[in-house]
Amino acid sequence: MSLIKNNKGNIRKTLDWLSEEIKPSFDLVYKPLHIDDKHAELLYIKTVVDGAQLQQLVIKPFFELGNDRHVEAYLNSLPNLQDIEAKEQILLELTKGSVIVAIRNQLLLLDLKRVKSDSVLETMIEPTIQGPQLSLSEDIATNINLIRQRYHKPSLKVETMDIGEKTHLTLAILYDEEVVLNEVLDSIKNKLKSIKPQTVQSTMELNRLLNDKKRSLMPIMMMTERTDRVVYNLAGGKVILLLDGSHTTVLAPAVFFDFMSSMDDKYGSYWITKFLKLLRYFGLFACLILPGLYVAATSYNPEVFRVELALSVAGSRIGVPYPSFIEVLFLLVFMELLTEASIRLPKAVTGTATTVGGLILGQAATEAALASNIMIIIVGAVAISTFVIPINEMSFAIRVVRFILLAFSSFAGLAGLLFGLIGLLMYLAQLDSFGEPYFKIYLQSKRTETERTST
Amino acid sequence: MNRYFFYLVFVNMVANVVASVPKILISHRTEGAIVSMIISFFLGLVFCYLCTRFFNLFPGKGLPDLTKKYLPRWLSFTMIFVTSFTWYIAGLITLVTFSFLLKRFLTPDMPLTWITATFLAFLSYGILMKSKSVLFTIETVLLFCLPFIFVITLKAYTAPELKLDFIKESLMYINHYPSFPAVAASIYLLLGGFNLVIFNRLFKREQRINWKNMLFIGFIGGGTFVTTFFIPIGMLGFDAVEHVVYPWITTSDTLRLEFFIVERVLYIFLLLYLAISFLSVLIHWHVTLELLKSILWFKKMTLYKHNLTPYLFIVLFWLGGLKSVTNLTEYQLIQFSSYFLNYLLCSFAVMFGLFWMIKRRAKV
Amino acid sequence: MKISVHRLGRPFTATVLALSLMIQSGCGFKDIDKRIFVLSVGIDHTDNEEKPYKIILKLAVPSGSLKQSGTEYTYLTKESESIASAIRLLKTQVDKEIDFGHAKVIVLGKEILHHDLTEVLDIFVRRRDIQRISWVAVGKPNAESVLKAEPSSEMAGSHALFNLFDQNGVESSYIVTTFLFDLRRRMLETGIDPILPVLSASKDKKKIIVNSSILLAKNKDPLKLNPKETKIYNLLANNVQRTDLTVKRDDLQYTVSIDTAKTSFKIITNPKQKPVIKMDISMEGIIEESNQGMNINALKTFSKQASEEANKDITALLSKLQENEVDPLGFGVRYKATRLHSKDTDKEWLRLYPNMSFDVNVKVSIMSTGIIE
Repeated sequence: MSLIKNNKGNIRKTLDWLSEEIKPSFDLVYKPLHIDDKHAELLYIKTVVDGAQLQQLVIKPFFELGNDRHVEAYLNSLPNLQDIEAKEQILLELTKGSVIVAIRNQLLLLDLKRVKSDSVLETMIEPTIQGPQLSLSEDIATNINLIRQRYHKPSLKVETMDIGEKTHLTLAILYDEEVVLNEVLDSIKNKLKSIKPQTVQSTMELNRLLNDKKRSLMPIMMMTERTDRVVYNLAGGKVILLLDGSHTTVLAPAVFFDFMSSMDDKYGSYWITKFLKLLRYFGLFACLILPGLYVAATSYNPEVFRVELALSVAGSRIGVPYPSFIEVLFLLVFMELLTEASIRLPKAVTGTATTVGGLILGQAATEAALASNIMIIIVGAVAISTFVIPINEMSFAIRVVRFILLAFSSFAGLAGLLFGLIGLLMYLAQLDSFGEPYFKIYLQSKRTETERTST
Repeated sequence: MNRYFFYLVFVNMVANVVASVPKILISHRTEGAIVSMIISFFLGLVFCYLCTRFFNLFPGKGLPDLTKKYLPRWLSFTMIFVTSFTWYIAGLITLVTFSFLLKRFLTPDMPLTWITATFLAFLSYGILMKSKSVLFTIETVLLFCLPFIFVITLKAYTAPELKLDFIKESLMYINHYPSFPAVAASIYLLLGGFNLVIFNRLFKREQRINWKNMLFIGFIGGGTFVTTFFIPIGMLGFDAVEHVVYPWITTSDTLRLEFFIVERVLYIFLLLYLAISFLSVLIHWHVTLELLKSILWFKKMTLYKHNLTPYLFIVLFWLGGLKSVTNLTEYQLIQFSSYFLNYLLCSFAVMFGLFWMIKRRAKV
Repeated sequence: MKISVHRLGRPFTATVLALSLMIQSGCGFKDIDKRIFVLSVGIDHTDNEEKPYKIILKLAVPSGSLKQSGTEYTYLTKESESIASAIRLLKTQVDKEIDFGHAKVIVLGKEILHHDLTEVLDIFVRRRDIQRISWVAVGKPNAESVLKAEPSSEMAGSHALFNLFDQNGVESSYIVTTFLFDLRRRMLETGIDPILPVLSASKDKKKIIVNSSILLAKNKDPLKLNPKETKIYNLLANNVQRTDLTVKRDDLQYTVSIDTAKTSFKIITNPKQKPVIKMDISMEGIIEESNQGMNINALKTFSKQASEEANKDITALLSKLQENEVDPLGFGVRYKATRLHSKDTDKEWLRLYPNMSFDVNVKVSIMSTGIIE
């Protein structure tokens, strides 16, 4: 602050420099206020500043208060007052929606942002039956407010920094100081400092930027829009990253099992949630191995299953022109297309797409003997099982893994399938998320497992 | 003790089937197999206890770290090299046996070399991982397998065709003197703890194996001994079991799950053992690789700042694996397994000498 | 630009892996519709000295709509000097690969029993794709007629022979089931002899009857057991829990339905006494049918009568076995299992068995007279 204080010429120069920097923009406003011996100057960008608030907080009191000193004291007492560190910082803040007030040889920077995107959205990505129905907004201040409202603890720390060489978005790092794993926190901070992206638009982009391995299949951070999940993870010692303009947060470190949990698991009664979890893991398993298993069982080891099954598979394959793995691949790819189409299409058309694709295509494919009946059942089962995985990113990853397993089992039958599964397991086991092992079985309590990172 | 230690012990117990242990034991069934098993059961427990106690003295240190510190260079080098070679052969036997099994039962139309190559490809990825990841893999696979092992064992014990008279008949040969090969073969079951030579590096916290742990190992180990020897005899007949090449595989084919998706236990068994023998080779060869890395590290062999020494070892592993798979016959394999197991028992005497030396020099 | 090998390493390994797998594909890959499944195998003896074996394979031909048309069967037969060569030759008769993975029934023609059975069965115990849990039976008059019989109750997709032996389908105390591995161990073991069920096909090939069995003692002619004896054998071998017992006393005739039966035996060799096999059989059941009113107070008497009746039958069967020196119940194995092994254990048993006396002790408990008295 001392940099610019008490020097009339200096203030003049700064204001000139600022307006020079922003100049060609139409929405730059330079407004001197003058009455009696009171004198002040305002500089701001019209489109990002809340005009009503400006009027209410700055302009009106200026004319009502007795003299310069009163106005200055009043402005200094406002909660919106920001610290000034450098000229460049002022410039940056102006673009974000702050107002510069020059009064009595002093520059004051007031945060009077106008945010149009602070309405809280409904949960779209991770719906649950129980639990809060509202998620986050696209404004970081609102989001921090929402989280703080659910987590009343002085040890909750919010650190902010700018990210993006061009966009300079605010990134907030939230953690509970008491439970957070310090190595993880340091490693995240260091990585955030070391990356220099041009633009960052979504929290999920951070997932990729913070991953050491550039080509990675599995997400090592978890994206969520649910405040209850955020709070649950904060209490569990995780670090939350919030990005301005994004209505999702990312949590780190994340382990494989996090992606298989739904917040409903917290709310239901014991046996029900256990059953649902079991169902979910069964779904995961089924959608991973079913296509591969079909190929292995029809083309390599038909003697493994019962004779009745073997005969009915053989019967339903009569007339199918291609080998089993082409048949599976064909239908799986179409199923993937269907899934992809229903994501990208406008909501109104999605229903039609699924009907046309699922019912008509499937029916016609068996009629035309392009695929066997049993294959259609399997593809259907696989599709449904994929949707059971609660977190989207994991379900996307699993969709890819499925094809790899299919390849292995087309090349080596049941043995290939099993090798593929073990390979997948090894891949997961050697991953780590900010120093925490990505895939390990948690048998003991969570604390002992994470503290004992040495073993 | 840390739970990961038990996994190391259990993998050896379960994997004995693919290390020709049942075959060797059964071929000695009229020549004192039972007494041999009793002897090796206690001997094995003592070995396991001593070895674990030794490593408990040095938390976070593997054998190479200790030999380097306390022994002269030449001795350290020779000992580690010999140890790593032993571990390599242990893995190799499992690998070759299981490749033969796959060829015989699951994928008879695939060339043997390709089966082994597939095996080796996944193994190479596995043994290059961090030791920690190896442990995580072992834990997960083993926990997946346990229910199946349990069901199959239960099924075997409750099968109406299991004739207790055959088992009792084999018990009537208890009055024979034990034989060395049978002792050596059966002690293999309890030697899993020796994988601590490398994995002790991860057990950084101070811990001590106690009598509860030993009781647990003894209980499970005893169960494995009984199952591995008596079930094939009970199912296949005391005399008739003689000419069966893979006693346990054939035994598993005599079991039938009437109300399960897969009716023939044989296939569940094969897939189960595919996973378990993979684990076994993974552990053994990971130890081999780490041991070799600790004594042979070619600093100059780098490519783009990346040292190629481990890859050189992997190439050697591949060559050894493929060569032995193509050149061995089933009978030679069983012969060599038997020789190896005999050697293994003797080599542990040397191993304990080594432990004693280190302990005396470290003065702990 | 420097690319570290580490980065490249994994994708590279993956590609090599995938490619290497690609080359080997086509070796084991054979679609299910290119295979034809053998459901049962029959072996008959021919009079031709050059080609003594006649192989009959029953194959399932899958059809598109299983529910309507059902599975159709087709048969292949070949005579040859060995079973393996017959199978090789049969492969040239079909357009698909013959798959033995589901061959669950092996039927041996009656004539071939006079042949050396070890030789006949060798291929089945040696081949990896024959299940060790396939059932072995004797076909009367020959294996071919049994295989080719298609009982009218045979439904789509389910093979009648499977259902006969699988205890999920028919449960009968007249059916002996012998798995291949059981047959093998009985053949090789001293002190226990094989027993096989006899399948007899009716002339019109619409019916298969399985209620008798054949005993194959080592180095002896096959010995037939009639249905009643088969039933008692099943009881003694603890194969069945459910059986029935018909008692005839003067005018009174009633049938007891047994729902729990248990047999145990002991071999007692005392130097001073005659060696004895002590057999305890306990049965529990209720009266199922009677030609007179049953007095509920007399249940004890009925139990006693039933016990005596059973005792008679059982002793008769045991004596018959002993006379013919066959031992399907495994007395010999029990003898060996209860005496510390010495060199002459086997010989001792062979000497003892013909002189054994039987002490049969049957205890039938009739719990009820059914829902009427």
